[in-house]
Amino acid sequence: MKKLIIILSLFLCLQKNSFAITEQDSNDFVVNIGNQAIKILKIPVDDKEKRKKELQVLLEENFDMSFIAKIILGKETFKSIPEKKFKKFAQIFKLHIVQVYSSQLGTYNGQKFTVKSTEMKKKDAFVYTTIASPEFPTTNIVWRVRDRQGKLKVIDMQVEGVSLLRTKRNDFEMILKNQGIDGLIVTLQNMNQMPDLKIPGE
Amino acid sequence: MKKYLNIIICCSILFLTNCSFNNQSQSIIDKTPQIQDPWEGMNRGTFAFNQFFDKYLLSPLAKGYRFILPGELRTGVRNFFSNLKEPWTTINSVLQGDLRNTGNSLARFCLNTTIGLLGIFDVATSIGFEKQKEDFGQTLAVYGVEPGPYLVLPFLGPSTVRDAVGKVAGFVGDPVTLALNREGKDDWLWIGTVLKGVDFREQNLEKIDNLQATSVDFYATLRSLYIERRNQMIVNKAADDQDPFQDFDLDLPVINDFD
Repeated sequence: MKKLIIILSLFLCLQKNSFAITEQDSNDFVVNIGNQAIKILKIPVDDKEKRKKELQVLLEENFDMSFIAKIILGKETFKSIPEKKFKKFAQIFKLHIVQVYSSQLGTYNGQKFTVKSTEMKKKDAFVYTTIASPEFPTTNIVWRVRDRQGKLKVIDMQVEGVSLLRTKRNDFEMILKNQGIDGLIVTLQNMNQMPDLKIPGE
Repeated sequence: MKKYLNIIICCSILFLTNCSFNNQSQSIIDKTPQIQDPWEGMNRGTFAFNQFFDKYLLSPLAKGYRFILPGELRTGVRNFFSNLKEPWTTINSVLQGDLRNTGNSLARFCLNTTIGLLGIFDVATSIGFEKQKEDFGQTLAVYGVEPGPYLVLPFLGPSTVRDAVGKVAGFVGDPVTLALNREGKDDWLWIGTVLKGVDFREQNLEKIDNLQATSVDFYATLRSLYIERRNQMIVNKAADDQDPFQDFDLDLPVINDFD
């Protein structure tokens, strides 16, 4: 009986450890992302390559891009494609997201990144932040953070109520339906090749 | 007896384990309306027309407007038009029973019209009265009117049936519109509408162009952005009070299957 209690207690401890994410850790984690993002804003707009590179590093370090890619494809598509093809998609998708965000990231005009609060829901932390700017209305961003294999990772972000996951799922829905994953991969590959776009404030 | 005791202890541990998980978790409720787009074919047609209109008229006009008018003057024009919308926001805030925003928009209008020189300078925001636009579509939503199907309006872009009705009501019931009609100055109404459109496009030139360039299906992207953003405006709460990412609730298989 003692053995059984020990095993069950260990099971309990292990389960608890998998929920090791805390408000403070998530807070600090997102503050760090905010600081990194502000640094990217400060990179001169002419140096688009550096901006993109830094953004890619930020995404790789702090976002679980593979997980995001899976969710965006949806369960059915993900299960129907070979792992190799998914990996190819995930790589292209990551570059696509770099392009999406680097083209929307403006220049630094005294923006201030602030964490307002953090809320724990199930196994995720939701970190509520704002970017205040002297020129533009305050932007609200919510970060969904999860413990992924012992490391905190962003699994979605919501800018002014608009979720990255949901928007991209909708964006890819029709091409996935009509042309499948191959069509989507080719389209994204072509889009990733296009020349740098003029960014806001340039 | 001992056997039963063992079972009870084991069950208790498992029960407590489960309880501790439940205490940590909170349910995440899906409040996001599903996108209804039964008129997608027609909407895509209108969308293509709007794209054509934007490419050959609105966007070039916006670029010209940016080239001619310096940033400070453009901000002044934007503030001026924004201030003229405050009375309509006040009325809708009253209709929604939102006393806080009623006071806020009233204060904004008074401050910006007087100290802000007819609204050219947005002094209210710097004092702490932040802009919170309310329209009749939002008022209808507060009274429980469903958004209805997604609808792309010619020239005006993304909407829903409810929001389109709200736009018509806004055009007819806005005190500024009524005052201009009474004075027989309808021309100013049209000039103002066109200028507001050009100013909006100028403000978002790169953002919209880049969004289009980085979208696989720009129509679906804009639809998604409109529905989500609009929902956030209607819920009318700070992000802190909302349950975000609702349709990716952890209870849904889509996210659990990948864990």
